[in-house]
Amino acid sequence: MGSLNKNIVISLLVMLLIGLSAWPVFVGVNIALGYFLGEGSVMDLWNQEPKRNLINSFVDGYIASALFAAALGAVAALDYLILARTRLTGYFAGISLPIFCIALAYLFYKEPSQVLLCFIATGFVLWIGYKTIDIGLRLRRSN
Amino acid sequence: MRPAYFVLLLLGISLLSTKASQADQAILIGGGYNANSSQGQIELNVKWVQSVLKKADIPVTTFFTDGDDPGFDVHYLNPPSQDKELNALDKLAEQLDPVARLFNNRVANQRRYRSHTIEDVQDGTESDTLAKALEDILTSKPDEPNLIVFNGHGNQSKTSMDKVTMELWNDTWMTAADLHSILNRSEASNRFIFTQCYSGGFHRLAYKNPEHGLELSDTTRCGFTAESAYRLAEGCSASIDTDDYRDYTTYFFAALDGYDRNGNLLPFDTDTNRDGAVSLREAHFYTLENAHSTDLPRSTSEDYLATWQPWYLKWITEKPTLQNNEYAKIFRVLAGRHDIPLSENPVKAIREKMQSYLEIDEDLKAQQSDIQSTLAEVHLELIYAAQAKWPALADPYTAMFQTMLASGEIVQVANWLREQPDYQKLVELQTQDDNIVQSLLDNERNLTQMHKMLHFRNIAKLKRQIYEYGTPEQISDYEKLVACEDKPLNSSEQPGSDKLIVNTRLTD
Repeated sequence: MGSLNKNIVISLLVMLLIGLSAWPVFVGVNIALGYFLGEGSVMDLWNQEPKRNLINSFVDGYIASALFAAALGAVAALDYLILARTRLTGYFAGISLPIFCIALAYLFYKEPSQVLLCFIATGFVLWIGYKTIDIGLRLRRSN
Repeated sequence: MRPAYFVLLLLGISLLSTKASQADQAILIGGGYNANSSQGQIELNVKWVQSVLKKADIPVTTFFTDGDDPGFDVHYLNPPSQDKELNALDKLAEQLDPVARLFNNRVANQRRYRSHTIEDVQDGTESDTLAKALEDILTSKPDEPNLIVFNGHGNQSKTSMDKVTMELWNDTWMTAADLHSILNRSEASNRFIFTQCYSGGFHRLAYKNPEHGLELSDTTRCGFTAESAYRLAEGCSASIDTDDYRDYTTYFFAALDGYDRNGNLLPFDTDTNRDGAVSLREAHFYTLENAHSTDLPRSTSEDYLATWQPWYLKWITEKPTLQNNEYAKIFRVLAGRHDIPLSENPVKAIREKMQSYLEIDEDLKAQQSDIQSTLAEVHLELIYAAQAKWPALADPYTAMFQTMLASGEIVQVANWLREQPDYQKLVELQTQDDNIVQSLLDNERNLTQMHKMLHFRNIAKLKRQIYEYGTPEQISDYEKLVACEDKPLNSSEQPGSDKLIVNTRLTD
């Protein structure tokens, strides 16, 4: 019973972390990609418009994306409950995050191939976040 | 009279009146907020625009600075030149040049004031006067399309786009929101061309709510601005040498007229779609491609695209691809002009060039700082030396100083200064400083071309996106704005009609 409660608490923690960080990670990944690919109209706006415009736009995006972020958080929590229980499945725990991100690109974009890279990258960065919690907690458990 | 003829007559009259009510009228507003901000370029621009509009058979109502008041309301520079004969004032200015240089009045010493010489000025531009006049014009002919042109200065807003201003005579102003409420009285379409600093805020005239939102106003409004709501426009020059002018007006109206402001035929036809009339949109594109200035102009439809872009597209980095539309064409033309290879990653090449211009900017500013600190030292030494000999120089606007002026002693000061070894150094350093200022401006113009390429590459992408992700209503609104911009100067003229349009002289 104690273990079940602990798992629920951890999965809620995972859900919260992934849900809250989804939009900032998405934005960060896109800015980084924009920088490396040379595109990045957002970087140009940062130089050409008052910073408040982009900050407002970021906040608007945070609110508007809340539903998708919550879904992503729920997927992460489910993933944790199902896959993080055994050592074998633990290796794949978190895989559903990039898969869910790819699915979002295919579901909501007219030309998914144009935006696929940033969704895959976002999924992987979130996976790293997930794994940090997962591995961190395993290490604590093994102590 | 037989009833049938009577009916025909009535029908004829009604058709005539319908035709007349659809003709454009232009409202031309110009000048600075005082004589010192009313540069000669603004006056010459207003005169030229007025002549282009009149040539297009558009009735023009002009408002300029203080109206017909004979007081000084314009200034221009009268630089020393060997080609022209000097009058008494010019001679005195030349004599006093060393003193003016010493007291940082070098440019002011060349400045001359006068009353404007624009014809048919209806009234001044003081905000109350102008607001009342605009209301009268719009309410007296509510169904007549208007073209509003402003040539002057603007101020930015730190709160919202619709609070940017047109700076008007006697240090008054009118915000975009003020003009928005005035335009609400008109039932016709309104177009505008604003070239002042921060003019981009006036694109909010096109929307129902001037402050925010995407819903368009009940009547179509569209226009062109020299800049966004956040950037300064290419400076107004007090020089009367029109070859120096690179502002938005200079290119835009040249494209509409077919001739540049010096009367020279443009090197190519600006009627790019060959329909027999140059639309405002074609003039805008001509300006984008040809103006090498610090302006990054935009139209209302472009502003609409940027305002429309939803959150799920704004932050996305798409695969680098060039779109297939008119904005991509502008990008390609500019890229060709600035040696940006299109085959590889052009955006990376642009950013590298931008970086090199930023480095040049830093170098120039460092050089300028060195020159200015040496200049300040030389300056101080000369001032101390001069004041040791003529103590009254320390306090201008005093009785002693006035006595120096009246007795002509000030000319002796100027002559004494000319003989000082440090004076030559001062002149040299000031010339070097001028050259650096010019180099900084040239570099900024180059940098703006890079920003322009990136901006219109993005607009090209936005145009594709609105057709992919926009609702039918948003697409229709966007197309409405494009159609409004794509009309010729006289919007009642149908392209290809028999009546001469303004640029038909191209085929003369």
